[in-house]
Amino acid sequence: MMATRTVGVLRGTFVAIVLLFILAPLIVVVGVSFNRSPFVFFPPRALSLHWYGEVLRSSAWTGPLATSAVVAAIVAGFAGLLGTVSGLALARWPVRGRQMIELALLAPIFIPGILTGMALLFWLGRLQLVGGLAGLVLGHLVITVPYVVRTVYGGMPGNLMDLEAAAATLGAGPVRTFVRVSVPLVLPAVSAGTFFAFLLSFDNVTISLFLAGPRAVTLPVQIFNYVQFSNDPSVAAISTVLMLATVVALLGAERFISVRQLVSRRTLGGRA
Amino acid sequence: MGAHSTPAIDLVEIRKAYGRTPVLSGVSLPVESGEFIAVLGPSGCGKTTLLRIIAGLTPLDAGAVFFHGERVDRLPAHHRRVGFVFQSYALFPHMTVVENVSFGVRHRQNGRSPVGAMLELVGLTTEAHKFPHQLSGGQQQRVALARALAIQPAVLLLDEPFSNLDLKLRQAMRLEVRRVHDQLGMTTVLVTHDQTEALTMADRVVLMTNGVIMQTGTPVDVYQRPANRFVADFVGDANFLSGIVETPIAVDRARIVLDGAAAALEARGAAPVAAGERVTVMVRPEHVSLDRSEPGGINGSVVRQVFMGAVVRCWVEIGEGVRVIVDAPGGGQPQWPTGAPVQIKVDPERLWYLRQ
Repeated sequence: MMATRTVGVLRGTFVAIVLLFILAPLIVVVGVSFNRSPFVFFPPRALSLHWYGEVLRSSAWTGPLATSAVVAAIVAGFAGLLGTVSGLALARWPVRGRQMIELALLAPIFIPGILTGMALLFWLGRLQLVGGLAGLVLGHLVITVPYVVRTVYGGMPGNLMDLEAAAATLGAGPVRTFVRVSVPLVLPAVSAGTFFAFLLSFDNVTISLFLAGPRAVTLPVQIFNYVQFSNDPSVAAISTVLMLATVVALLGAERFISVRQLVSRRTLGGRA
Repeated sequence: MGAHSTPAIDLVEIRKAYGRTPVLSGVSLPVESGEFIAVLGPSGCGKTTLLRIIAGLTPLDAGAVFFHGERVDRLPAHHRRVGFVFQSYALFPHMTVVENVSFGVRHRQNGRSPVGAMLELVGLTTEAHKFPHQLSGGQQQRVALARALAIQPAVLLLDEPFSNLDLKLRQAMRLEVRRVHDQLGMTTVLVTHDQTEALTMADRVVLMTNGVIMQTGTPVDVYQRPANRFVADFVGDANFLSGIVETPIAVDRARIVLDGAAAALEARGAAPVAAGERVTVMVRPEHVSLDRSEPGGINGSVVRQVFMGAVVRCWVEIGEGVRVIVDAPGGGQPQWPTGAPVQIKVDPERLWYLRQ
């Protein structure tokens, strides 16, 4: 009895420590954002919403916030489409050579973002696409599509081909099969992947640093630039707004998709 | 087989290769209307590919498929009206039982939907509103069958449908599927690697290996009169003994001296043989008996025996490295001590020679 209780207490403590480790930096950011003084104190000496008013009034922050949202939305849309099509194609690919295609599709996940960013700068620079929305969108697609492919391919039923064949033998043509069978079965994975693509794009620094420019600055890049020269709680305030938005989005999304699908899924290579 | 009736399914010289690997090398098979055919063979023999070609799920390279005399090999799967039961059942996981079964039903027959009747046929009326994952394996299997039958198909195709079930359930489902077949008179092709399944369910068994048909015949034919050693070996257990033809008697009969035996035995076969020809003689373990002292048999000694319930299986060495498997009746029969000298006797009606 005692042993069981001790184990329980130890486990609880361990979980608490891990959670604290993960959440502590966030607590500092949120705390700092409520400062009144123009200096960064933690814990804050006097509470105020001053810096929230400041960042939400300043176009230096709302502009990049809007840019990030627009870029992320476009990226999510295209990544969702491309990733879904690739994931479905992968499932149809003959076993031979499938792993090579898989590896190629997923490569950007394994390449350091800073290298991808540099490579993109080189290519998009030649195409005169650096410093604008188009460049950012293309750059973010490179790193988000692999995640959607992974989520869609890993999240679809293992016997999708059989299910589609079954629909055909039951008299359903390609369109009816697609609408009644394929789409409903891959939709949860597609929504999860698309949502993930939105978050990845919204949050990206490494690629955006190379591709942002005067005409298009994303919020993470703006934050990065800002903290190099200034040190006031406005960054903390805008970061807290971001966190809040993410949490709300996650909770909202959880109603429609399983966020667990993003983190726990069959491994890609393990499928015949 | 009625000579005048058009086969329900007629496969003519079907050829198929994946890349350079031939999977089907000229398979021809007519299936009579209402017939239950089992295509039996080891995995990789091309039997599933053949079934998918009939259904239109896999394109063929050469040959033709006819349904009731009408050529269908260019017709896409959704226009062929075949009921197909997949090995994985392939039930739509996002639909209930009744939604699955009605998926293919578009036109009500005489104002009545066949869905209810099909659920009744497979005994799943009470499970109609459950989802597939809430059902047992056997129930899922029944839903797959009901769904395939609900479209009132021209032919029913079953791809290893029982391989995911445990033994008891498998035996029950075999009888049930055969009952449904008899009730509806549905032309059925079953693909399986399980010889018991093929023998117990089918009117005719088709044996395939390496993309060709080795033999087509009734279960009794392929079991008692196999066309070659592959069939004899794949269907049931068999002893293969070498011997030399002493005198041919008829086109399908000859006296053969088995290696190590004193006297010649009469055996039947599928083809004529010449005197002095070396042949393989097949005999099933249940057609060999053990005796202690009767003359006329072949001498040997028991090297191993295993109690198997209905029979005691004995391995008897009759020569240097030549062993014969004998299924002796179990129960109160005398047991043979290991090493005991015995004589084996074979039922001459059951000796079957195969040309080498």
